Amino acid sequence: MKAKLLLTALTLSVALTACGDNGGNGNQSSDSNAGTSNEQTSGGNASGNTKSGDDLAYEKTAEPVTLSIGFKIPDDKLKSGDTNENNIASRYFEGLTNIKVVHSWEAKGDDAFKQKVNLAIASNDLPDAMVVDRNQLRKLIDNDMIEDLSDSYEKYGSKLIKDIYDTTDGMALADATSDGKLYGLPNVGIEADAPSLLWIRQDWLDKLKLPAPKTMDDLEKIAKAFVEQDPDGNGKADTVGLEGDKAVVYGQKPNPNGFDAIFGAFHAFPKNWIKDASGNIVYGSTTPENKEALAKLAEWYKNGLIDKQFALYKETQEPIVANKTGLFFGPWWMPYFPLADSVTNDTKADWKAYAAPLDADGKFVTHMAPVTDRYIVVRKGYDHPEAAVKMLNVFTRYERRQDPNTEEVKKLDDYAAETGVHIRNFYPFDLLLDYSDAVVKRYNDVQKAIKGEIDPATFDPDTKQVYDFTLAEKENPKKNMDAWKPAKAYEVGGAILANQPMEKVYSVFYGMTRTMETKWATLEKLEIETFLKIIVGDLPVSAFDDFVAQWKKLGGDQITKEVTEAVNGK
Amino acid sequence: MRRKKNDLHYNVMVLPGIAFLALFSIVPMFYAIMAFQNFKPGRGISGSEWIGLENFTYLFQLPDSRQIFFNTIFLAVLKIIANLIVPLLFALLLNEVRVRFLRKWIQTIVYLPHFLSWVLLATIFFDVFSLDGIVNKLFGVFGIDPVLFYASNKWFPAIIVGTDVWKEFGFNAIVYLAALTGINPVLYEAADIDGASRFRQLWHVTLPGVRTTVVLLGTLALGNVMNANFDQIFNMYNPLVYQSADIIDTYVYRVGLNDLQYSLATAVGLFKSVISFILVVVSYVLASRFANYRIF
Amino acid sequence: MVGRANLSNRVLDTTILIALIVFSLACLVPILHTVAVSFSDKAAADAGRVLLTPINATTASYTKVLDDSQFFHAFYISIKRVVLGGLLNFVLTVMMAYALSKDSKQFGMRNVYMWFLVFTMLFSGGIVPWFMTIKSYGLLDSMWALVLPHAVQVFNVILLMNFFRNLPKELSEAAEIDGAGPWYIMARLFVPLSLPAIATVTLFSIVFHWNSFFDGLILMNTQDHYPLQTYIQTLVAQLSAQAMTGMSPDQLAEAMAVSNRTFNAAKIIISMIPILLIYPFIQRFFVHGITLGSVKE
Repeated sequence: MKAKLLLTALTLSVALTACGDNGGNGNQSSDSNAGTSNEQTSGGNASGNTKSGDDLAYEKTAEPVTLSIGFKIPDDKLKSGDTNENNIASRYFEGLTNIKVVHSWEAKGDDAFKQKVNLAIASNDLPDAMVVDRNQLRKLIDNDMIEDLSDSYEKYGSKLIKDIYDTTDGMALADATSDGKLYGLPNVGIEADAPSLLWIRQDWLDKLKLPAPKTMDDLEKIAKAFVEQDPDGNGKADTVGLEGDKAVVYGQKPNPNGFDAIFGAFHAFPKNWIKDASGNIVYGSTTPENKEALAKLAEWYKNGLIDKQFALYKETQEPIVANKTGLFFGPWWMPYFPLADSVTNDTKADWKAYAAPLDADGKFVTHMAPVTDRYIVVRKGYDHPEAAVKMLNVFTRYERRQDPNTEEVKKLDDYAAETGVHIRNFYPFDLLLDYSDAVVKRYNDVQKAIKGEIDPATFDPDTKQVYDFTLAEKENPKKNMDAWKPAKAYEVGGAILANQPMEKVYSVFYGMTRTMETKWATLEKLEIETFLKIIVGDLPVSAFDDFVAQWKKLGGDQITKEVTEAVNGK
Repeated sequence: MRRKKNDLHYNVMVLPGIAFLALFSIVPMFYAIMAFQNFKPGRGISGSEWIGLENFTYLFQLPDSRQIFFNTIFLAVLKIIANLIVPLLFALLLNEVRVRFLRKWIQTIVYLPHFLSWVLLATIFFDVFSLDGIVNKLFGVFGIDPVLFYASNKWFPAIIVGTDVWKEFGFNAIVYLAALTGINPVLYEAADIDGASRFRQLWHVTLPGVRTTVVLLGTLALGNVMNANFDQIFNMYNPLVYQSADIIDTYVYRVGLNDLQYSLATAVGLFKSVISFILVVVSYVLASRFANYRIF
Repeated sequence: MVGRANLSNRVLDTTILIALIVFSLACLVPILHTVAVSFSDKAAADAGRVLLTPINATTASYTKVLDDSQFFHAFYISIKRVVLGGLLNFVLTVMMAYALSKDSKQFGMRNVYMWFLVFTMLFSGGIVPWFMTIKSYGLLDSMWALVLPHAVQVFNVILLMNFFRNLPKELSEAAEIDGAGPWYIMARLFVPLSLPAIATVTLFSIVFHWNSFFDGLILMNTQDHYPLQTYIQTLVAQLSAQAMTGMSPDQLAEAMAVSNRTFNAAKIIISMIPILLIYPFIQRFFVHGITLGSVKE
């Protein structure tokens, strides 16, 4: 449990790193949105009346303001003398805003951070502002413990963050809104993070003379060959087939090793609320399609095609990094992590991604993710709720490379280059705003530049960086892993997202309902355990039906009713 | 007059400790009344809605709860039994050794695990029981297929009980060794003269000599029936073996700190306390009645 | 006939000795294995080839631990906790045990206190109320949060109390006739006579404080305040993955050279050392102390 949560944190931050490294230039991206959707209208409105707004947004507070927060400790080693609370990044942001950030508490790892937040809520002792998840946000709203940020956001929110929120069609802000009041400043994730692709050791595939996988049967054959035919050629039967994770499926934003794509191929969407054939809202983990996917996975596990140890790794990426497996599912950013480690350990490793397995009609089907999953909240009664907004303004501006204080920014960049410290890990809030289509757009731009269709000089700094790294990687493959990471993530992962048609299934509901609050944890536990046990053979496949019956009895029916009301009520 | 004066002194001696206990064990009980509420952090204990026993009735409807209570009692009882027998066996063996330095060395070694924390031991055992760990290597020598101990609901309880016995058997043997040295040597001399073999001596002299100790320890252990050892299981378990190893304490931890269900978690913990208390009272009565022993 | 008896005796003795050696080895093997891993090189340890002797012996892991200031800081916190907590335990335990060793004729409230002790030992409101209590005293994130809640170890009090009760009554009666007060009798008579038991409960309280991890995890607000076991607990779950992200290839290569398996093993061994240094030397005392404290003649 701990390991899983931790991993989620870890990979999330990696994902964000991945995107952040290549963060798009705001103006350019919103320009490119023009005409592609009607969201541009609202974006245009926002930009029309925020000129004076931006003056306010980036204005120093007249009096020094103190903002206490809960801080997630990164692994980065700062230069001696600097602390998590007082370092080059914190001093810079304090200088810009006149807001002094102090740490009420710190926690390392997602699990520990979550506990600290939960304890802070329980004892009604919140820091002035902190980052919470959806569940916690709901609890805080219910208990009337946090400030309505509507006015602060309206008045002090920068054009940039308003632009970014607008690209989600209002979904991001709606997510943090209750009774017309905005209670949190949400993050904005990238759409590209949702589909789980099939990653394969192409060198193994070629060596065993196997064709690229399309169908479920192809996948099965490859797994079998990877187990039995000694693809790494060391004369030992030490390779495994398909890798998995004890979470079974991630449901929204996948990490490495989820089976999401297998379920998708059977048109099952566990952990998502979907509409069934007759238009009723149902919980995706309870549809009969899941049973087919589970039966397939159980059969594979039994036949040794899935790593027998998959549920046991402390860190799900262990077998990938150790090059024991050449077959797993994961989102587009896998080259950043864990594949870079795999290649470092074995330079022969050549990873490719495929949108597979396809469903019976030959389509790749995937669930999507909510645009947002965490929120900056401000404690009720804090005198300067705008301080949180202003902080978000400045670090988002820096993150998106639009900070006009070039001299200071260069100092930060140099510091980062010199020490390997990620400046973003020292933002007061672990919450990034990205344009949701950033990955595909950047991939397309880089490809066009390579073909000479666009002049790379027009790129924003981050796209330029991907472009440069891609060229460097072409020149000297696997020499510089920092170049390899973005080059491969875009070239391999981004390409699939850009070129492969996908049937995208959106969950109709991401929030919590009243009954979920007390019963969801139990139901989730029941679900995870049932799925896992069916796959490893502790339970027969027929146990799925018992699970569905029990799920409904234990509050599932009531919750479904509430979700239906919530969706239809909108 | 004199007695009264001492009484005051005794009270003064006890009171600092009592004050600490009151501050850190009794005061939390006031917060624990949230078990009877739908506790809303924003409103605090005084402002939250009273819902009577609803958390408790809900607790009994959960499919989890039966499993968790079962696991707790099952693991605890197995540990109690194993921790009575293995140390006794060890003590009986050690008692036969007459070479002093050997006795002392063996004792020093077997006491060691008792002093190590579960944080450290869990890490060590994870290694020992992993797929390429020592135990599976040993299995390999005998041609047994490697076992995923940490993923198996069949093996994991055995590991929990086994590692607990491993940690404590030496230490638990101390009391037995004391009882064994307490046996009157005249009894052995008489048996020798009668020509009784060492097995007969064991049966007729040694075992009757430690019988009361065994019964007594067994009775006292009754108070631990609801205690399957949070530290051990928290550090060793994983979601795969929740079915066989999730106990009340770990459940309370997860429900309370990860799922934000403060009231439910508190209700479970309170329920456990009540049962434990009853069991201790019972064991106190039994011990004083049958072994004429007052624990306190 | 005598000869045969001797022979079978000798066979029996040998068998018993072998059985005892098996018991002892069982206790040592997991720890020896960890020692071996801590001194092995990364590749061998990761491949699971290390059994009881180091492979390609190296002290790289230990050198790396020496560079880990966080580890030693946590070590220091733990030492501080043990000293403060141990002292407080000692004073309170002796006082309570002495007073409670009197029967209710001499100390009227004795049984009331006794049941109070048992009640507090068994009843707990669970994690959340406990956290809220400690928070309400403003102790969060301070050393006192680790020490004060455990100021009285009820089990130790009962153990020492039983030991005191086994001391001959005549002792204190004679002293009382000589005009000695209860404090004097406690400090000058009972304590010196009870050194084994006092050493035992002190050892227990040291081990308790040294081994606790959970309160550090919940009650400390910054990592700088984590005691050693808490530090190791968070480390074991996190190190491997986190260390790999965001590292440059050089750093990564360096990190890979000392695998976490060996690195963690080294930390585990180092954190065992204080305990290893203490308990064998007071073994005689605690064997004696437990014996008299728990079993009555």
